[in-house]
Amino acid sequence: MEWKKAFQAFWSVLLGKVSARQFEGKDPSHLRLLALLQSQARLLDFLQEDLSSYNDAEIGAAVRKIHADASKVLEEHVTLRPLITEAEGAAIQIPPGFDPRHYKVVGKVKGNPPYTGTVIHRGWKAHKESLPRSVQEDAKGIVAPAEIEVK
Amino acid sequence: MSRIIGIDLGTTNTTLSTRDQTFSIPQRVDTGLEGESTQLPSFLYFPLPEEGARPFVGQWAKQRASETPDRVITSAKSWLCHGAIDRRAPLLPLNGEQKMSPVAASAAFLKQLAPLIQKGDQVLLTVPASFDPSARDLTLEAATEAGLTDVILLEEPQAAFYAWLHTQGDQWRHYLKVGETVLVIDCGGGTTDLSLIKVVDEAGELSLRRIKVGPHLLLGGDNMDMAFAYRLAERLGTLDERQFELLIAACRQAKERLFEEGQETLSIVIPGRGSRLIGGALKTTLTREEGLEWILEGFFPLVTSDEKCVTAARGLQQWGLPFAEEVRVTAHLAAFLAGEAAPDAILFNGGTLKPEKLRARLLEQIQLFTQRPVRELPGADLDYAVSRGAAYYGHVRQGEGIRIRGGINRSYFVGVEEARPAVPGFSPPLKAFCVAPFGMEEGTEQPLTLERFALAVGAPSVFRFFCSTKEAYPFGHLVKDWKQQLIELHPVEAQLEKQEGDGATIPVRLQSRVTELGILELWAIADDRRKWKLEFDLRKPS
Repeated sequence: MEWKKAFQAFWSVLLGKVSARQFEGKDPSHLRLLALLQSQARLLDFLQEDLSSYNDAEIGAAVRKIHADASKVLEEHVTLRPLITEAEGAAIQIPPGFDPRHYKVVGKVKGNPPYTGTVIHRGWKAHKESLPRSVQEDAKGIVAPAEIEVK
Repeated sequence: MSRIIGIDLGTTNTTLSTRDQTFSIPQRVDTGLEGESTQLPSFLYFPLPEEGARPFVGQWAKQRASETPDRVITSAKSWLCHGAIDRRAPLLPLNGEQKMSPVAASAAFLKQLAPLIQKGDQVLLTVPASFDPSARDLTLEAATEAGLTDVILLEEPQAAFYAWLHTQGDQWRHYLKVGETVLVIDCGGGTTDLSLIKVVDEAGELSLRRIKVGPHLLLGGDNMDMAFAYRLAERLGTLDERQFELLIAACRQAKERLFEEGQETLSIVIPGRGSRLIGGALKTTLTREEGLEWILEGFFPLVTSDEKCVTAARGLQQWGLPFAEEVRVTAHLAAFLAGEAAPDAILFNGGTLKPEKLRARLLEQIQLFTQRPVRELPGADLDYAVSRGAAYYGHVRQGEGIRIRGGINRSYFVGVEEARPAVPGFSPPLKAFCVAPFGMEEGTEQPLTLERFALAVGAPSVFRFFCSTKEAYPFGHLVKDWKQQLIELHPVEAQLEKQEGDGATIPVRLQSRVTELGILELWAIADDRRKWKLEFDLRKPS
């Protein structure tokens, strides 16, 4: 099984390299959104926390605040609105040549469009085009700073 | 093209609008992030040397205010109208290492708006009606320091009222009449202002007259959050300063939820400051009933009209802003309205009055004082009304007045030639026949004339139109001396359809109609019900 180990090692090196290169070369805007969600809603602390020792009421009480804060961040910086105007449950016809990014057609789909169906989910569309711009140099993956209190 | 822009330089938030659009203001939104938001929090942060060289204003500064309170200026506007200090002296923040004057801080907020303002824009800046002349001058001084020239000051309650007028369009006449008074109750995060204005007729146009202005009260939504926090802190045990700040923030959110139907018990959670958010959390609860009572009975209890504001007899107090000692908004209302005629309508402004329950309580209180019904002016925009209204007032100042009476603002006439024997070298004298009188509502029509006219058909003919800005002419009135009394407009040329058997003219009666789009339609109706239509665009400048 030597060849298999070698192969795995090869893959891990390759993957590690590729992901590192991607990380440095691209705009880390995903981290900026996470940084905002952490700074203003503590979302990462919540997702990183082990919930197994808390009961539902404790989690629920914390979630309400995170939910309120995080949705404020989303509203301010992403501004989500339903993609289509039809109500859930309404009948809808999907024309030929439709944009698959716009509609996901599910169920017993046969033949060619137009397809007639029911709206299950209205989809989401972001109405803000860009996130706040980072003024500093690439922070090399820092999403939240360490907090130090001076007394 | 130059625009008209309104700026609401608020105690807690600054906004900038034209009459129809609120702008996003670029600002530092978080550590190291430049973004934008329609509200610029009026906070100024002196950064650590590693964070930057110049002070920051906006969202990040607001966030830092709870994290490093001694480095952040808050409520600069309240200091601007504090008569007992030198407002040009650098004294804010009180415990700060670096300091700035209230005027300079106000200028910094205005400077932040600079990228949105173009050369030649007309800027209207609002101030509380209670600002004394020196506070107004200092506001203008701050504007000049920020590079804004030819700024016009407008009082906030008037701006809020203009914003309401703008949203209502012509519908405002359904809610208010000339001579009526409006009580404006503006309750923001940190301040409350009461003022009474009267709607007056100035040469046919709406104008506002200030009747009474209350003191600038340092009392608002923040006091309610604090009241919650003090009460709940007792249930949570010992809290450090940061935890108390977090508690206030939690109370602010709980306060908003109080007014939504549904939950009877609200949990208040102070998240753990370390990464253990839930594990390190402090938690208590509050019932909806007690929370509502704290607000309604603490800040808005029903009082009688002779209720006096309480003042505590204090010997020494820590130096700071002159916060209102009386926290009952209704007691301030009683003092303000004492000796005044009952207001006819109420206009609410400020984010604190968003819950319908609070507005209902205030209406109930005022009706209790005056023993007569009072109307709420509906559809007010509580967050952006002041800056939008200021911009709208800018348009009003430039001649786009709000007319007291509805309908068209001129009388319109069509030229009618006198029937008399032709005289060589002289065209027959022309008279002007009034087809649309002053004030005729858009979307209405005038009845058919009894008189008949001879309408030329089958050949190109010219119809002359005239107007007058006077109200004196009823429908059907004939003006002979039109050269003196009326203004001639551009004529309408037309060739009206002719049928077989018609002569050169057909006897018709006239009927006029003004459409919603401001088109004057003049119908000529023959006895056999045939109709011809002439159109004249009343909104087109001639």
